[in-house]
Amino acid sequence: MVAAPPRVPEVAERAAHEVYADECLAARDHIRHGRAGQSAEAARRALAALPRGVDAQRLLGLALLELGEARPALHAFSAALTADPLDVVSHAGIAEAQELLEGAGSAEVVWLRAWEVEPYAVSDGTNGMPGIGQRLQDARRAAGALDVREGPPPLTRAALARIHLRGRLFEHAAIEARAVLAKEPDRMDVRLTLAEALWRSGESLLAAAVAQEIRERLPDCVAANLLVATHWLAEGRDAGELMARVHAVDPAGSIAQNLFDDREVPVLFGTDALPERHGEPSAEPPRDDRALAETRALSIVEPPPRAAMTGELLPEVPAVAPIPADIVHDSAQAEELEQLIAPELALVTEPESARAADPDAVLKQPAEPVAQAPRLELDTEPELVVVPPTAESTPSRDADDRTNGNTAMQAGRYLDAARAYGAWLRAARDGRTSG
Amino acid sequence: MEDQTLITLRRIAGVSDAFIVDRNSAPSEGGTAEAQAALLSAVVAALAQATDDLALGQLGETIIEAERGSIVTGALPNGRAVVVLADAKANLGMIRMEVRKLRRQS
Repeated sequence: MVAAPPRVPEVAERAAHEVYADECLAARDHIRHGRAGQSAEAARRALAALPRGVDAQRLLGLALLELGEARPALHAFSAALTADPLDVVSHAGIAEAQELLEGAGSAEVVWLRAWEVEPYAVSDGTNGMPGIGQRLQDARRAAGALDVREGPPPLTRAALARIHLRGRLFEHAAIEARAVLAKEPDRMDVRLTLAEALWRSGESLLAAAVAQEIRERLPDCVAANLLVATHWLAEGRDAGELMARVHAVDPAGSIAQNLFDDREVPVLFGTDALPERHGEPSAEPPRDDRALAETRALSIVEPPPRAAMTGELLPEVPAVAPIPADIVHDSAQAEELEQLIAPELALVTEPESARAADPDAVLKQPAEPVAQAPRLELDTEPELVVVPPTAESTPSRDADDRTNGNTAMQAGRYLDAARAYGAWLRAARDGRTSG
Repeated sequence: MEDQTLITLRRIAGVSDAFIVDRNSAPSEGGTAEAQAALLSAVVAALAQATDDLALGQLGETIIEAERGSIVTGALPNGRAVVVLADAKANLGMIRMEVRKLRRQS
């Protein structure tokens, strides 16, 4: 006797989120295998379940683009950008659609926008597809630009803001983003970059204010809603409405996962705040479908937000000297700059942590100047006293400090050596100024 | 080659000094510059020791940001390091680029 096959649940019986996740998965699979028509249908079914779903909009745009339906594709990508202004796939999709509609020369601005979102994404050419930077250069040539050089496009301030953000130079990113917004206040991608930079630098109040500005223009912007919700939760306010909006647009929580460190999501929103993932592929952004661009996920291996930064942010912080035009137009150095964003090579040390690593230097600071710093002994724990600069510093004192430092260095007691050399430096400075 | 890179580093706007420090050689008698180099050598050595103790591997590059400036360092082979002192207006990206260039050449 053959058992009856399990009953396939009716669509109506399943939660909208489940339908959405399944259809997105199907759409992704179809387009991966060249079935653009079926992909578009699946994406439409996903949108029927969740009309504001960003993944489905993006997939619909990709499918329509494959089908040569440039104008509806453009609309789909534009809808996706209202939810995620930093979605490089949608930016590149709009540029592709624009090229299809009006030729390569008309797409320079939109390619530039796509490239500025991920200026560090360099195509290695292994997939046979030119990178976004190359497409931008081609569009510029097609538009008749005479100053197009080989290599990556010249950096812009918007691109620099993204590079700084990825390189954890959050204050620099904020400065560049503000400079762009002063001229182009409608750039929601840059405004979101500013909000993220502020948030990561510990300025959650400012970040929430900027995010609120974005929400006024783009109420479905997931990252802006998340940043405001984070701030509200920190203040003890109810962020349920914001989170409901986030779930309606990005039920897989991929943008939240990208914005926050994995550990932060449950802390901020509760373990059940984000819906369960319906299988790994559907939860991830469509990385494999990104023939148009490098995966955004690469850009979002971000650190958790830092607790505090030193110094004032804007406008009190001195402006960073802009990269001179002759430098940013040099493709070799632009490439170098792109390499600078590899965060794993940078160990950023804050002044507070430096002090925390050496609290004795503060604790043992004598109230009165002492005549001579004690010598360091190799076999005993040193009781080094930091001597404040005095007018009585003498060459022999300098020699003692230097000797102490040398001894500590040889013994591998580098912090002690730093203290001793610091005393030497202060004495040398004082001798110079007093002399 | 290192000298040339140091000259390039010193030419960057906002860079007040740049030098190579060596934790294995004791500083000789001198003034402020020598004391400064010795102090920074010890700081870099302490950071290198810290990354080693934390099982993070060899020290790469550091940026120490302070109220009125920054210290950018890059570890070189054999206990040496390039150290750049910069004021608050210096372009840290340019400095890091040159530091990285020097590290690659060493």
